[in-house]
Amino acid sequence: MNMIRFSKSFLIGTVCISILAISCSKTLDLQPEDKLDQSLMYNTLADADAAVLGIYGQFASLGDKYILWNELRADLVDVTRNANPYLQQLSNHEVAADNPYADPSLFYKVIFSCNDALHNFKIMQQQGKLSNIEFEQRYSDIMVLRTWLYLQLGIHFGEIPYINTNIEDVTQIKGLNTIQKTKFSDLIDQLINDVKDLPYTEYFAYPAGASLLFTTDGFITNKVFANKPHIIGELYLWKGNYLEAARWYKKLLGAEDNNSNIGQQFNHNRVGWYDSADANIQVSFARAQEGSSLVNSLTEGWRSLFALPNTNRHWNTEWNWAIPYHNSFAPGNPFIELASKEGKYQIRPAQHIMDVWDSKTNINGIPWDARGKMSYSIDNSGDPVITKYTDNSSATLTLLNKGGQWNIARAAGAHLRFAEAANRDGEGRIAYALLNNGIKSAFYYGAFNSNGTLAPASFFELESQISHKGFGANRVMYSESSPYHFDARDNQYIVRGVWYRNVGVRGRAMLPAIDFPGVKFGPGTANNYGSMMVEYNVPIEDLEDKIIEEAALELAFEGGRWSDLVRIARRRNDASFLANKVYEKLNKANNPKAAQVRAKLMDMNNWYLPFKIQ
Amino acid sequence: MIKFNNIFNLKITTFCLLASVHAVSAYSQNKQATNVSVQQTKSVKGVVIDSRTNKPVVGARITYGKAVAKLTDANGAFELNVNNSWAVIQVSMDGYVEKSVPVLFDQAMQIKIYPVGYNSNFESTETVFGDNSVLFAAGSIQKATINAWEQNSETITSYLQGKLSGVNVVRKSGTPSMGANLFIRNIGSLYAQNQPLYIVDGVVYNAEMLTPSITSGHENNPLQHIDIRDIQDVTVLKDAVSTAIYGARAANGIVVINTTHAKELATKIDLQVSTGYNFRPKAIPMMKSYNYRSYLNDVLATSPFTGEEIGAMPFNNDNPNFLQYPVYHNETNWQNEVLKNSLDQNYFLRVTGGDNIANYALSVGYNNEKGIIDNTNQNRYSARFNGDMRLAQKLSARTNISVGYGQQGLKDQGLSPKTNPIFLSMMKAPFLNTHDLAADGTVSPNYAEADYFGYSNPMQLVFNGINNKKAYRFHGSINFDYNFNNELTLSNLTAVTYDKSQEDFFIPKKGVAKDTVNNMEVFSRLGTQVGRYYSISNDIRLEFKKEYENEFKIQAIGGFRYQQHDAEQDYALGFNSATDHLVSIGNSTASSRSYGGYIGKWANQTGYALSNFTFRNRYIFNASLSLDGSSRFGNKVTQGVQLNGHKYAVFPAIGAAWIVSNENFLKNSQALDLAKLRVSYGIVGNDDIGNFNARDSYVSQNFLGVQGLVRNGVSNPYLQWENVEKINAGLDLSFAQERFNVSVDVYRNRTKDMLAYNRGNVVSGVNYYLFNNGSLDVKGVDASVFGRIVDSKVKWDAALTISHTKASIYDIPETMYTEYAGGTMITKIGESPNAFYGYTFEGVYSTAAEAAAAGLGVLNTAGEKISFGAGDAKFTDRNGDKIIDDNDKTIIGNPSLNLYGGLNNTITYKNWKFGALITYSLGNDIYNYTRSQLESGSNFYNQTELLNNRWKAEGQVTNVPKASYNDPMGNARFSDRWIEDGSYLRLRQVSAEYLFPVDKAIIKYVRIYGTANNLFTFSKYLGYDPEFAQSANIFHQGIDVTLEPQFRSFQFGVRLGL
Repeated sequence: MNMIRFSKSFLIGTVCISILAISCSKTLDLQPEDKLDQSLMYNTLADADAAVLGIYGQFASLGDKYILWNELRADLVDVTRNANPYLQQLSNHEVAADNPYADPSLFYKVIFSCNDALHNFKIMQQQGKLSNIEFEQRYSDIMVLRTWLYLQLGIHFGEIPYINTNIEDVTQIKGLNTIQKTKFSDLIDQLINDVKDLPYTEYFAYPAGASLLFTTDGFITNKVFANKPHIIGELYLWKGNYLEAARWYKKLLGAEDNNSNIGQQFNHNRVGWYDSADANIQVSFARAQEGSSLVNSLTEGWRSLFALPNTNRHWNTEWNWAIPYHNSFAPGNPFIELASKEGKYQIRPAQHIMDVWDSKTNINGIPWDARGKMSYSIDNSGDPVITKYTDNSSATLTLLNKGGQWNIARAAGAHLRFAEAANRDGEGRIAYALLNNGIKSAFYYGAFNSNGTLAPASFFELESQISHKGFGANRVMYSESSPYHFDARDNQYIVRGVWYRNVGVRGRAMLPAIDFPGVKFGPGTANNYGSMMVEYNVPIEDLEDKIIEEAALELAFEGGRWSDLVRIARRRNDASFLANKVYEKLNKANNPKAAQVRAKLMDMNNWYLPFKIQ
Repeated sequence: MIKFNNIFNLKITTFCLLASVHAVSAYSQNKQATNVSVQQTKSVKGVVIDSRTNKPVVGARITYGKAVAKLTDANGAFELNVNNSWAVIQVSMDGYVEKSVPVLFDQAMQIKIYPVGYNSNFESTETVFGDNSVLFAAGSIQKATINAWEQNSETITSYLQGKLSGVNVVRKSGTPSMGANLFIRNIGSLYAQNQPLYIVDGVVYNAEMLTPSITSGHENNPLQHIDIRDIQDVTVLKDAVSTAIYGARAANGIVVINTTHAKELATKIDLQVSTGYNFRPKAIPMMKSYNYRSYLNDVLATSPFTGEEIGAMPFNNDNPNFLQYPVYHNETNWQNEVLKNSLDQNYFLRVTGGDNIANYALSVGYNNEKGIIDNTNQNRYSARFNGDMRLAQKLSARTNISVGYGQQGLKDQGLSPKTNPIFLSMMKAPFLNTHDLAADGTVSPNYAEADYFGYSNPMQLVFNGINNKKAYRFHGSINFDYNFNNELTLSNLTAVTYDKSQEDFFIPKKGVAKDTVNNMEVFSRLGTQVGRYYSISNDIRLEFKKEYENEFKIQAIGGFRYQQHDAEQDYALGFNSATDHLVSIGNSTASSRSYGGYIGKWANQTGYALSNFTFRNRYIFNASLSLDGSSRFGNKVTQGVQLNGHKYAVFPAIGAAWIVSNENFLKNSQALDLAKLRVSYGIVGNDDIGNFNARDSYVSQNFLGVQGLVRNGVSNPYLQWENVEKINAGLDLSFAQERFNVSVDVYRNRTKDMLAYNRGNVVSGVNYYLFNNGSLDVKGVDASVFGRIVDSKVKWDAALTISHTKASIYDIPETMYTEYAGGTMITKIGESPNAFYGYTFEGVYSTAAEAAAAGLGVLNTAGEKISFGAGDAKFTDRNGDKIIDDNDKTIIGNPSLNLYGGLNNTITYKNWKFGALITYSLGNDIYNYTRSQLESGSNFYNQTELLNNRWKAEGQVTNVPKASYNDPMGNARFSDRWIEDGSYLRLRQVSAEYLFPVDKAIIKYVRIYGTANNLFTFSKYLGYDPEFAQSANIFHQGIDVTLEPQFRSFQFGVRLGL
């Protein structure tokens, strides 16, 4: 009896189980557990933040390519005897299609992630998963980053495929093989178009209190994200819209104009003087006329800029964009392997730039530009080694400690870029001021003390410390909204303009102002004391040459050189501007291919790396 | 292509379905016809003879259809009436292979029957179809009856070697329980699984290596948990029609394993005790101290070291007063230190019995096996409980529950030059000692440190290193059968598998080469891992079986199967324990630890149907069909049918057979017992495409220590199963009362929609992506010839299998080059996959003039040409540009098999039984990576004696290039110098068993036996042994990366039956 009942219930049970298993279509819908299924992504703010961080995590591995493309191809960095043939190809401008350093796929990988994030951020906003401000910050951040990646690709490859849509699945890949490439000039228009109406373009990608602002592993994230004014300003420089370029760079320079912390307000991005608390980043000597007393330290002075962590106040006054590396986390600093003796030592400072540094004379008569000594050092075996990449204040960087940072953009660079824009926009004197010894020294028109210090005798004379056109009573002030308005008034009791500490890029490096025949100085308004500018008439290209040279001296090896050379040469439609400089590097290094390379680079079409889609 | 396939699929599917319907309706027409025809009853006479004794068999069962059954009388004779001329009678007897014989009316029939175990074309077997006879199947099916008590050191895969045609078994290594790769009719895929599906007692037994071992060169073998003595028989299903109900998992064939159930009610006890002795392999002849030192100094002379520096090296100091003189003046045969003879032990007990309600078979086993690397061993425990229960008149149940546990002490093998003791034992300097030595030559009990060149001391690894593995598997199933009536049965089979393997390793600091990993210096290495697999499955089926008027038999099965799998791997690796006594992972430096693994579930749902028709015992039609759904398939798959929002793959297959010998014109033949023609055609699939490859997903990407998420590349929602179209034609013949039998199959398998890597592009950020657009062809012939060679007092049964197969790429998106162990393999259209691709070595330039005349050179990194000189290798300059580079490579060998098989012999004489198995493989090539290291002439490794002939002086004519540090000219590059013929003929196993005459009232039997394994191997191969496999990955086949070799062993044991 029992058995029969059992068999009945068994039958019914079996049938039920089977029907259940068949009918439940979810049984085949299994999601991965060690990856995140698409359906679980982009649902919350935390997902959006994770997407942003993931992209910057990928971005961190582009450091070595960025440096090699921009420096080794240009005139300041050369290969060593250890360099592999591929690096030699880069330096000699004979890059073969299979050269791994010329492979842009890592850049496109980040772009792929950017497109995915941009696509989904929009959906999140539409679905209300992100508030407007959360969306605006993240969307703008990733868009500007993508713009920078494309700009770099454009600079180095000329014509590139521009993709701004999400790639859904592999069937689209074949179609991409034959995608139309965008010309560099069109690309710039496209990129400007991408960023011009961005909803959030503040200096800091994420304001205080935003969830993406945090400290981790000894680093703070506020300057990790792409710096929008810096990138957009550069786009306008490429475009030739100088006023717009100046506006964006000015936005960067004046980022802390309203900061109530005066340390921040007066030092941040000002290229100012020594301020022990917040800006100990000047070139200085312990004893004025003694070269050996150069403050050549990883914790203070100009060199410490490249060694301090991004949480350091001094560091913070100068840097606008840098990606930290940490020994415990991939990818780790790639420059140790590339540039240091600890690693493979494949690149070195070009003989040419070493000679240029040594040809300058410091204001105290020391016969070299101290920035050279602090950008590279000569090791025991007499080899010059670039130190800018691998200086670290807390612990020596080695192959077993790959920390440090990939430093991308800083104040001195922004000053020079602003100067480039202003100069081209007909405001050469502002450019001159920022390049040389600062606003005050170029604009002050008034009385001096017998020791040469400024002693304005009236409000009128004090206000001459605000940038303006013309001289003396003929001066015409810029409106406050003009990017050329710099308030450097310096009176402890009455008023201090935010620029009063500005000493100019050369001033901070203890170099004299550059002599131009068109710049004339006269004595101050009282007792013939002092010296003030009474005439400014410098041809645009003359000043531009000097700005670019200064960029070499100040920003050598930092990754801006090739784009500077290309930008100016394109602007002037003069290939020799670039070709001659590269020639000089190769020639100084006794490279037998020097002349051949120059001839090649005289054709602008030969400036680009080969782009192999497949 | 895809479209075509779809339509094609659809056509056969429809055909199959229609065929089923037609057959039934055809029957109803036939039925009317038979009713009309006059039923003639005729008498048939015959006698049944035992093949062993040639005497009549008393009490053999003769059946005709369901209705007629007779027993043979005291003279073995029978007589019965049949009602039609095509009648076939079944002759059966316990302990004998059932035979079906067409009746003869005009003469008395003589029917010889053979005991179970005799290879027969009449074999019946339990497969995925249920209980069925091979004779009435149209598919390609081969059965091996297993009685492997004397071969308990084998696993099921290795046991099958040489015994079945079309089944290529390659034992992975000599490590106990490592198992073997088993390829049924070659491969079917490049990137998906190529191992067959194992079905144990009706349940899918997942034998995939889901979790890679953290011991290099090792793989955990899930099949080790099936004790070979528990296996009753194994049936291999090779073609489409016999496997199609397993649809997307059937592409590689199916191995059906049935374990022992109680056959009789009486309680039976079998006990076995055995012991074995393993012999270490013959050492590879390496240089002795004197020659090695000469070689070493030759290499050093070409290194950056100066003459003074070399002279000052301690091994060059021959002053006996020198403190380290004893350290560098020894003659050590390292291979003899590392490889040792060893002893095995083995116990097994089985109890079977029961009553008319329930039967049981309970077995427990313990194996203690040792490897030939000193200090390696395995302890394996197994237990199994198989029960059969009649719960009610119509309801019966069957359980199969097994538990296996293995504990294994291993050593690194394969490509780990710093920790593989076998490799180290060959390359280690012979002038060093295993132990520390004092200045006066006193031998310390401590093993020596890593040597002057930083090479590890293998003894440290053998005795102080730890590579422990514990593996468990629980496999349980319960099956209910409910018989509605004689024709209709509902069955439900539920099974659970739980598998776990746990590993630990520790590589000590002392005596082992240092390393740099992840930005840190590594002294000692530690690791632990747990791999887990859990699966639950249910298979419900309805079976209909009926025989109509002895004319027409039908079997139809419809079912639904579901299986869910859940796998996980978690590992932790760390470095630098404080001392060599603290060996667990927790003692590694915290910052050095890394964790990883995977976790994932997948599931299959399959609806299946099959039908078998036999008409007049001559014409056989089989059709099978499955609809297979898997969580792995993408959501945009274009093939298959859409059900419930998922794509289900359709796998139809049909087969037909004709037993020609049952036709009237042949059945009188005295010589011919059986002639059967078979053809089958169908499509099966392979679903091993990765669990989540078809899904769009996001993976973690760190930014410093913070985790972000990035899209995991571009997804492929079109990703689907691979389709394998199989055509098979076979012929089975038996002659002279089954004394001589032949079975031949020819087949062609074509894989379509094969996973292949497609080149992506720069802008998508994807270098390669998987897409179903490759195609592979496999063609082959399987033949087996078996029978009784001597039939007198001595009975000698022999079975020879000969299999020839060739795989070639039919279509892939681009020619692929794969790199492994310093070798390059090419896979291109028209060629067999994974061919060795390298340079052709022509000899050595004996003089500078000869080299200059040839004018060949290589390009250095700067692109300048450097010319070969005297003593350098001469490579063929294929493109004539005088530069030896990639363009001069060609196919220099092929690891895939050409011809393989075995010859299995059983000889019985009185109480003696002898067995001998010979296996062979012909025409395959091996890349001897190990030798390429030991004859490179470019480093400080000890070299084989061949290097004594190296080029040393101008004008010397030799085939061995000069010693040169770091080999700047690439003399040791991947060339045919390292490719060897892997053919071998092996006396694989010889056994002798003696059955003691005993008083059966007290004890049922006593058998003693001795078995020798791998007794002789004839091969030109220069390594230890030509049979090995680093993994099941086809790109690793035929590459000797220094694994523990096969070794010779003897076993001696006693079996008692109570």
